[in-house]
Amino acid sequence: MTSYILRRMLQLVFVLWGGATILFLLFFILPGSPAELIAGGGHKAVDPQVVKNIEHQLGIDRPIYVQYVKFLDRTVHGDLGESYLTHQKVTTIIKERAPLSLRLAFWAIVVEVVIGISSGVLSARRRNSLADTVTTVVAVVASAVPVFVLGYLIKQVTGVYAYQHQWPSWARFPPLGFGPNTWYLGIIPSRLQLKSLLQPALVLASVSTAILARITRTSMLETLRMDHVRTARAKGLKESVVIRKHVLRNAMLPVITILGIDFGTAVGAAVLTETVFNLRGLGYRIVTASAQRDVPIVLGLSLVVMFVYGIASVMVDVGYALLDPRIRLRDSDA
Amino acid sequence: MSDVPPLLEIAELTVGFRTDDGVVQAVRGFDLQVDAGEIVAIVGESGSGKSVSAMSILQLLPPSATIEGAVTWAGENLLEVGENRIGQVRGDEVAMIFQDPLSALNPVYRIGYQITEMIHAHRKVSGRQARERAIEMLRLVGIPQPDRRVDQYPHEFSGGMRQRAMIAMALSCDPQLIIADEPTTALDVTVQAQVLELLVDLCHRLNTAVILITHDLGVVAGMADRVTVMYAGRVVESGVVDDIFDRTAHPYTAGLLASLPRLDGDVDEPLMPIAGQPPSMLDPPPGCSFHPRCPWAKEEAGCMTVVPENIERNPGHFSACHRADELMATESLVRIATGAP
Amino acid sequence: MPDRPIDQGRDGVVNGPDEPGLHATLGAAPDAVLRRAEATELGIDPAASALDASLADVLVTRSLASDAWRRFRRNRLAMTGLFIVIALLLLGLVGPFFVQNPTAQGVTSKEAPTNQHWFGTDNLGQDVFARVVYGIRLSLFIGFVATAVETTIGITVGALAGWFRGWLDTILMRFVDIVLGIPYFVLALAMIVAIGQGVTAVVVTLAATAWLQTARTVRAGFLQVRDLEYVDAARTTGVPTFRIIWRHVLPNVFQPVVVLAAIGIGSAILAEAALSYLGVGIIPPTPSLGNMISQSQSFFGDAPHLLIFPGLAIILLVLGFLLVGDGLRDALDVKDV
Repeated sequence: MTSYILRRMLQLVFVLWGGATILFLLFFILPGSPAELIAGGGHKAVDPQVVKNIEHQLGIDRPIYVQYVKFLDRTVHGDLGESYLTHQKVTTIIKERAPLSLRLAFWAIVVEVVIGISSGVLSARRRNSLADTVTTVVAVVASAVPVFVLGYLIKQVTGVYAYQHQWPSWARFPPLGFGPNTWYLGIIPSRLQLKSLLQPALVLASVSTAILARITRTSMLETLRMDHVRTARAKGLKESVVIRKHVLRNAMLPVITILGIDFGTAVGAAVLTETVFNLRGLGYRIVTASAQRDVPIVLGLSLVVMFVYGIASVMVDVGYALLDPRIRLRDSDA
Repeated sequence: MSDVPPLLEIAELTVGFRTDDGVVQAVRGFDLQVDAGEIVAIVGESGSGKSVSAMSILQLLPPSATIEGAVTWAGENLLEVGENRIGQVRGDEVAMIFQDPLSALNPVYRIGYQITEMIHAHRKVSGRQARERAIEMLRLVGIPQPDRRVDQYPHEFSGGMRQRAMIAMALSCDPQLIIADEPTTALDVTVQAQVLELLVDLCHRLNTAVILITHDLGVVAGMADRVTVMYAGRVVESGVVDDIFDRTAHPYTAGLLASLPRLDGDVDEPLMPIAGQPPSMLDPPPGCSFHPRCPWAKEEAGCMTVVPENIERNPGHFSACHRADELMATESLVRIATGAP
Repeated sequence: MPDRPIDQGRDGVVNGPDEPGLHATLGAAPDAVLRRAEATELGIDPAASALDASLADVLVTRSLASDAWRRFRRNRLAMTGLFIVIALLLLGLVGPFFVQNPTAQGVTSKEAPTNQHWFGTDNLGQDVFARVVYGIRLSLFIGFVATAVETTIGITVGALAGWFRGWLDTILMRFVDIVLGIPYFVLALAMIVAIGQGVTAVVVTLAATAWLQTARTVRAGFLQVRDLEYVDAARTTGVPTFRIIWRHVLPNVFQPVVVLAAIGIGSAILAEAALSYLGVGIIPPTPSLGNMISQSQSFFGDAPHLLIFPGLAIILLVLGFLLVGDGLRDALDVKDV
């Protein structure tokens, strides 16, 4: 098991290096020097000498491999550079913004697990019932609604319309910002904080919840048909035990994989949710930096998101190996 | 034998499955009696309804199945008792062994857990006692190092070992009846005989009755006390092994026997498969279901129109063939199978 | 024979896979298996020329297609999706000839829907219906082109890796692993920032970020098929590699790729809308559903139709392709996509 985790970690390092390289190269072929932007905002004609000076200052006039080695060296030592425009250190920005994104992703996953799995299980247990049909249709439609349409609509209704028409306070939600930023144990929101968290978390979770519900349903139905479930019944186990131990347990294996990927994705996909709700998280900053072509920020924050994504997928693989003994064998064979 | 009621009695069992294309009539009137300690074989091709009949006993069929008739066990009709009672019968009084032990065992639990889980469902014992029992049962079925094997997962067992573990599980609550559904079909040919012998031997010793479902009449010869042959959802012939083999009274049985390589037969004698395919159970043929493939089928005898009754031809020997009398007068099995005069 | 194995048959209850060769009773053997067996039989005949074998493939494909279509037709959700897709395709292809100029600015701004302007007008007095129709057309264009490019790349990379294996496979698949390690939207965002805005940039970005799954699927299919006997047979009888891949192997990876492509069109449309919403994809005045929604934000209070119509259009587009993709997956019995 330890060797398995170790190998997965090594793989992660490799993937992170590769990803960093790809992103680095992407920005190297970027047309138009960021120095021009810094010098003139891209609007007025700028003095080429000024641009040259800025380029020299930023070190982007040196050959690509020199820059690359420097970039790798810095990154390994935990220095992600600083913003071209604000000269803020990227690590500082991360320290400021990552907690919000992680909390949001965490609660989105909680929503996904609770709603997605339970409705998927219900759907499978009462196959072809009205509840099943409704769940299926809602899940299909929900997985097609873009978060920026859903989030924006919700925000407009509960955040603007509700205030304008004096709806009761429980139906009104703050449309902007992220509340008082008060958390218990670093993760549990205070009551006021919950008010600001609830809608973004729901919106961020909407598509993945819908997909998870459908995957859970399919997985449950497939498992229900399996021979070992019949064996469990033939043993005289109570139906509730059969479902819990021999259907759910096995049906959850693919679901675990999905959840891990979703956590990683939620940190990155929060780009849209954070933009809609004006949440100052990593995603929001990536978007603003993208618009300004502030390369160090885009690169640095993307690396952080990749890192979270990678860690989540390693954790999933390890969890999967713990839950499915067949994986462990394959590992010791190798 | 006639004074003691049979251990299990199935009467007029009918099973249908609703499908998109209509109702599949998998079993159309099935009767069976099993006495204590007896080994009864049900033989037939796939789709003949043998497995479905067996699954109906413990109601292990999917919800799309409709079951009618009576399955009498210990004075009760199991088709009418509630979920609680059927739960008591399953595993404790009647245990099952399935075809493919790899898929029949849950891959994520240890073998030991899967056995003790069943013991706990029926016996008030401590975890330790259950484990001891599981190890004892594994030892009984000839699994080496059972105290180590008990903590392994199904995928760490070989095919034969898995089926032994299934047998150990089935026997662990001392059932009165074991239903074995093609227990060796999924195994390597070399271990088939071992596993089957083990099962029969143990059941003889423990006085456990067995319903052995198989498509292989050859398997039946040495093991079973009585045989029931099924075709297209109905019993076509039943009797003690000698009746079936030596006084064959149905062309289908004869066909099965003729397609079997025999040690005592002429080596040069060709094996004769039964021509044609079993019928679709969505729309089975009228009259005797076997008539499209039967060399003896005759319009005048009613083969094409009248469903033959399963009549007792000799004491304990039943046959559902309009021309059973003529058949029984024919000496040669090959002649019966081919319909040659 | 019933065209679909009934559930019980699969359980091995009604008709377990006990005796090979006697599976006709209830049609319990899945049709695909039968067909594959059929093709195998046709292919391993040493006398079989490439022509015969390709004939087998045609037979296989045709019966598969009609089977699949029959199953697809029975699936109400899938047919709904197909209807939506066809309706929107018609609207996107024919609509632009009939609607007003989408960039002509009128006098009345933020007007609610009227006979003149079915979906009302936006803040610049532009006809929203015309903009939505043009937006749908652009979405469909980007969806189809990006998916076509993506699928071509995916098939090529997957085929190279799966056929030649060895170091080429290792390099290509490690590369795929790396790119898959970058969250999709982060990669797309970084990419479009790097290469600029506009339709071409969006298509390139979407295609460049979406081919990974196709490549993996195709590679897996190749690995599975490559050693099958009928492929071996074709190879030993001297059929050129390219023809073997074209005639024998590709048809086998065709099904999951079709499913991936159908869903991929929906995803591409969604991604384009998202990029345009964030202001890095298609930028005004070119009408795109995404940038229309982005622009509508400030006026929701007095002109909710500016959000509702383009929003509905995106939802229908994505939903349509999603349902068709799902329906295809069920109809073609593709498991692991």
